[in-house]
Amino acid sequence: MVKKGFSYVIRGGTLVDAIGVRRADLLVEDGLISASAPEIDAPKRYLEIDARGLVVSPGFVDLHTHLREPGNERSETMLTGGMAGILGGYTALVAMPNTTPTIDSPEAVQYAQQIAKDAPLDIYFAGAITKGRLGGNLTEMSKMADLGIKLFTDDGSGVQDVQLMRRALEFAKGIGVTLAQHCEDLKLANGGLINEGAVSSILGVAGIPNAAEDVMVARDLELVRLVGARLHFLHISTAHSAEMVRMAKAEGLPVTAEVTPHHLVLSDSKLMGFDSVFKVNPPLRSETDRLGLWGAFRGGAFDAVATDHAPHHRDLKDTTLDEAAFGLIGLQASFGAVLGELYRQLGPGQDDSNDSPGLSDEQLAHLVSLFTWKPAGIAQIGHIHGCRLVAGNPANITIFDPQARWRLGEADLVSISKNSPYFETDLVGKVLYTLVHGDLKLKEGELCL
Amino acid sequence: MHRSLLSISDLSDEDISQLLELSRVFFEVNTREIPKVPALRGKTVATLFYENSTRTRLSFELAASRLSADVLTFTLASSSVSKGESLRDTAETIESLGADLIVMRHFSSGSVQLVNSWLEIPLINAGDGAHEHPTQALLDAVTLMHEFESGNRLDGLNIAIVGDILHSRVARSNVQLMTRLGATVTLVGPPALLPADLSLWPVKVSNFLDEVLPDCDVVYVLRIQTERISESVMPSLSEFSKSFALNSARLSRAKKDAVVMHPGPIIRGVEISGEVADSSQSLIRNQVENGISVRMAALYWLLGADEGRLETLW
Repeated sequence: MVKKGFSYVIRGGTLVDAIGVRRADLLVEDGLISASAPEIDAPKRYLEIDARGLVVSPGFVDLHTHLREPGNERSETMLTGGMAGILGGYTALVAMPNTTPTIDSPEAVQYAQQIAKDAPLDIYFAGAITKGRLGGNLTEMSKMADLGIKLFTDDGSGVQDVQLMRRALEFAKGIGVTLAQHCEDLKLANGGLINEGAVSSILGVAGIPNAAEDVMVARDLELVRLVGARLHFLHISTAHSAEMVRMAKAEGLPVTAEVTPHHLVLSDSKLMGFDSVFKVNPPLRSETDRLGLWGAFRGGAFDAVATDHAPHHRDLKDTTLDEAAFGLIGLQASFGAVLGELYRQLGPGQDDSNDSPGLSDEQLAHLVSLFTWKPAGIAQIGHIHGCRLVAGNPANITIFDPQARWRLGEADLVSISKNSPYFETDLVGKVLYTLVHGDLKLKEGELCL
Repeated sequence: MHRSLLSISDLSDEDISQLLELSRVFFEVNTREIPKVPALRGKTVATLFYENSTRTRLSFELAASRLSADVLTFTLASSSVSKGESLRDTAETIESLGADLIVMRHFSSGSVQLVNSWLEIPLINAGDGAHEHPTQALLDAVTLMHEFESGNRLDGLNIAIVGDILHSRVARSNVQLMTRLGATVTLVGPPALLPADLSLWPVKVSNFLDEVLPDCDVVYVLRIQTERISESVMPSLSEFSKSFALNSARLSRAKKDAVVMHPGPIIRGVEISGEVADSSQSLIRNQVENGISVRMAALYWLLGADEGRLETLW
């Protein structure tokens, strides 16, 4: 049994971080990386992790996790969500504020932070932009910022009132925090359940048009131009929104954007059997949009892959499409799903390579950046997570086999809720070791808490 | 998976032929002095309707009793659903009570497919949201085959389906069945009441009824729900009627012997005029009448055919 306080030598791995891709060993002790060099001759007290053929990366950072605690512990807790995160290679999660109570006051922040102390990884919280996420009055963001809250969002819905959004951006700019918008015009969404398109037309199911997202992205880009505040776009799902973000970044506007694994891997055809596990907001879009998101991915539109891990108890999913809750879980399979899809896009011939990853160093570094240092930067935790793998930095480290092919089964899930959309998906890239502040939490793919 | 009647899209051509043939058999039964046969004696048919319905539920219950089945009627107002019972628990309770088949209508698209995945007994979809209403399509096909004496086909017929296509399960089932049987279907309605993407549908589409009518053998009028007006889909009911209501003047632009159909309930003066509904060109009452034979066929197809009960028809 591995306990706190052990020191490790990670041998033979390929390091990928903001410096680049290189071969090096790492020494880990007292929660920090103590050495990084091509060959390290470590004393015997260092436990060896054999990383030959594996990639050693900064620990993953999820910008978008719903942990359901406090308030809905029958769906997920910080402990179970944290364990799912460890299995998925995460060392830090940013929990969304749509809990009960809403994380919309300094008291709620302190309450949530107290619970998070027992989690197996670092949990950071996003605060709400408006009280109760009702879109009416701004929260006391500066008091919450004093408690360490750097990201604010009403995720679950967007701020509909454009004047209020302007004021929120101005206030956020003044106190140095970042707003994150769930872009959905509720009038245009009009109670829709799935993507509006060929599939919704055949099924006779109310649709959410692409325009419901696109108009709010366009609106908020104009507000950023007006105010000059930072804004992060959550879960971009349409090709057009991604293109608008890419152009805004090229223009120099201070915006960032995330994309989810499920919008990259799945499309609305999955709903042809009315399976509510695929009901998610924003909805799985058309295949055209899905491929468009990959174009944007390669073109640099995105700064993060974020799971939007949204656990729902079986009772809330095992029902009709209109009654079922929006959302699916993703922490355990996110990296495997995205890398698996990336391999599929590279086409046959890449599959049979043995030792070296099928991706170029550049592609590998880009993928890792979207799981690590870029989201850490958006969350303003880049000094703790997503750090370069060099001496002196916190030992938040993930080691994965970039070649391993696997399938996720329901029995593998450690989340309380089982609403994963990936049971039929070929996953590539298996996380084998996760170190949180120097403690080994995942060993050879098994939790060791 | 056990056999059920959930949608036109999962019926094979062979299934459709069997159902049409059985409908003819039961049409004959219904012309008898005593239109009742012991074919499903001892079987229990439950009707589970989460949406108000008069004709469809009565039609199924009459069909069941003409086959000598017992009928269990589940009505929402007096059920445990008002106490918060889940759909799954309600459906499983009805199965546990010993029902041999459930006829189900629900306001949510896909709901009947979902319930079917939970149960062992066959289901008949009597309408799931805006998705499908397969027995309506079958009875419409039977009605047209009688009228045009076209055997088991609808080859060469030009059919316009008019009105609120977007929210219509009748349209979705009929488009599939009519085109599979050889008809040409044109959907006609204002843009806000047409589905967003019809690229995968084997139909023509128009926003102008007056342009479509001259080629029509059949004008199939759908009900317009007044709540669409409150959603500002149309400025007023009369704005809808102005362009899409089927009145005598408009019908005169169609082929001379064109026929008119409507799944009911009709709202006179809104989507169809009283004169047209009552005219000799109207098949509306034939549709209701054929509905009984088709539903007897559906019940028998799922409950009787495997057990060699055919002799019980005579």
